[in-house]
Amino acid sequence: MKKYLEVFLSILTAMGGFVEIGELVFTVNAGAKFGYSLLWVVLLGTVGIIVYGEMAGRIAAVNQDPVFYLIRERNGYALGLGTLIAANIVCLLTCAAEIGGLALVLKLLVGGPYRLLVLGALLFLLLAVWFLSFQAIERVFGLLGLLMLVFVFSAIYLHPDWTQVGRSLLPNLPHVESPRDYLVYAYFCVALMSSIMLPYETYFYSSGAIEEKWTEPDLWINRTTSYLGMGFGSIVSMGVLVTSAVVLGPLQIRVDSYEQAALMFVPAFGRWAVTLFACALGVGCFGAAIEITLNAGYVLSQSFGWPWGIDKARRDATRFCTAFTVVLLLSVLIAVVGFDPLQMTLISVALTVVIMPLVVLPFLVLMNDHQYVKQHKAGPLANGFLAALTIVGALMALVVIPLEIFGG
Amino acid sequence: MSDTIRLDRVIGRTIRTANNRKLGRLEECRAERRGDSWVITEWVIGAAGLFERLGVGVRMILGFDAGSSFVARWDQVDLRNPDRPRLVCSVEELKRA
Amino acid sequence: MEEHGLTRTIDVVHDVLDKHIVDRNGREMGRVDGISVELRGGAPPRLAEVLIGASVLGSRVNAVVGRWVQGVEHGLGIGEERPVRIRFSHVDEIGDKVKVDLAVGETGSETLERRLRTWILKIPGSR
Repeated sequence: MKKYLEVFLSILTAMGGFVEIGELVFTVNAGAKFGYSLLWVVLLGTVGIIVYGEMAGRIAAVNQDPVFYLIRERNGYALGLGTLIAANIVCLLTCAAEIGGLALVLKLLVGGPYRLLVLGALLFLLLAVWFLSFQAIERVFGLLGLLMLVFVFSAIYLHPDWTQVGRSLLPNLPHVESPRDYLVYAYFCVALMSSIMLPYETYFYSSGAIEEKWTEPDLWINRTTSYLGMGFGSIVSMGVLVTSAVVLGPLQIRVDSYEQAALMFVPAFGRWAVTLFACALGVGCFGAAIEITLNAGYVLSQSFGWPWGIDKARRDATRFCTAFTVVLLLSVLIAVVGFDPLQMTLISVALTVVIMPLVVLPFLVLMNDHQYVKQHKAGPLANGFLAALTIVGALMALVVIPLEIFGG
Repeated sequence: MSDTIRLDRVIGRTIRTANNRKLGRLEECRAERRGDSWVITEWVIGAAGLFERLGVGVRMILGFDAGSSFVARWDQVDLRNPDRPRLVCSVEELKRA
Repeated sequence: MEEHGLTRTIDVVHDVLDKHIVDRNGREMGRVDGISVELRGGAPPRLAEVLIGASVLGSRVNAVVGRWVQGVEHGLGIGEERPVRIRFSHVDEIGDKVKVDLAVGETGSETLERRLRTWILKIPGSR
């Protein structure tokens, strides 16, 4: 019974962690600009992250070591170092964006100067990572993750054209006013894919598998958590897109503030719109910030061979604790200096998709090494799918993102 | 008289033949326990060119063996200049991996 | 790794380099960041020492980075004990991890961890 409860909470945590600031920003704008058209990208990205996440959990359970631990061993130092640096740069920027987002959420809820709220967010985060165990973090964010269902409720309440929604789950091109809009559409495809397939989620998931002490007999838990957790998360994401398409689409506005985005809840929730939106976004940002912070500690410690683990006494893993604290403080510094969280989100998402091959391909090598996964090797279908997705995504990003930036 | 070199700096270096042709890269060395010591018995030499290495990468991602080119005995490799390892025999004398 | 009667052969890069290294009690000491080899004219080269330390890693990128990291280690007051050198004769087991027949306290690999511990224990409520 206890095991099933743990699995249930793990699913909720995976679901709650799916929607964070980057994903929300792009999904809201995707819906506002292109209606339901980009739903297929959300679906494709979800399949990608499920495949990727399940593999990462599998390596951890079978090998009793998490993914990042093994990347340097299997692929050599140079590639391991490249992956580490890339992962940490993205972590830093994404964490800064989440903390900035959290501060803006607090501003929506209670008001106050932005910088003071950033420091307030820092305090909450430090308390959480220093004094909570892994299970406590999972339980808290698992239950808070239920709040994300407001997006699904809102989408259903609005009675969208379900036939059109269904059709949009297959690759399609929207009706556009000018050819330039196709470029914008391509940019959104790349950005949405990137914001869903965040590498830190799989490293965190794989480290979490070790913290939870999964072994080979627990592979069913890994499959259940990744399929259902991320699957439900994707439904939340689709709820965001559909709601935005129905409410904000006809208004023809470009959403560049959270106050504007919160408007999409007005039809379903009336005067509670801003509060509910802020709470849901806050939960997403807070959970993501904790995950990213801990992940930075995990990947640095696993690369350099330091003792690690949030369930260890802090005095037994001092370099791990120092590493994640330093990353958190640096992220807060970036947020406090005043970079716009939305801009940071755009940069971190763009960087993520470009470095994706550097992160995913060494991982695929690992997934095919009998020494590390025994008989649980990845099949050619999964390999080919992930490899193609990341390479095509990176190539598209290299073309589309500069064009988008220079084209304004 | 003995010199000490860093293995991690030798690995990945291109090894050249006696007539200065690129043969491949030192990818691995095999060692054997003799008494209290571990001694290097063989060097594994892998692909040198970029396209060959990309091919190796693709094979590894798809789950095939990376493959390698040659195996040289310890006395067939000169490491006195670790930045420029050299073969001290002909290529024909090497074992194929 | 292969067993051939009484001898054992290993693939040094695959089986030792970059592997985690633990002491005789199973405590983490870090990773095998480098290996030194003794060249002996007329005899096969011998694996001399396992090297642990950030400056060793840095020098694998290039010599300048290695020296810079060495400077940082001196700045942190652990330069004297870096890199940690463990004679290969102390390597007991080579498997998923490399195990040595020393205790972590007999090497300098935990110095930074211990120094940080004195700070961390000052945080109220820290366990």
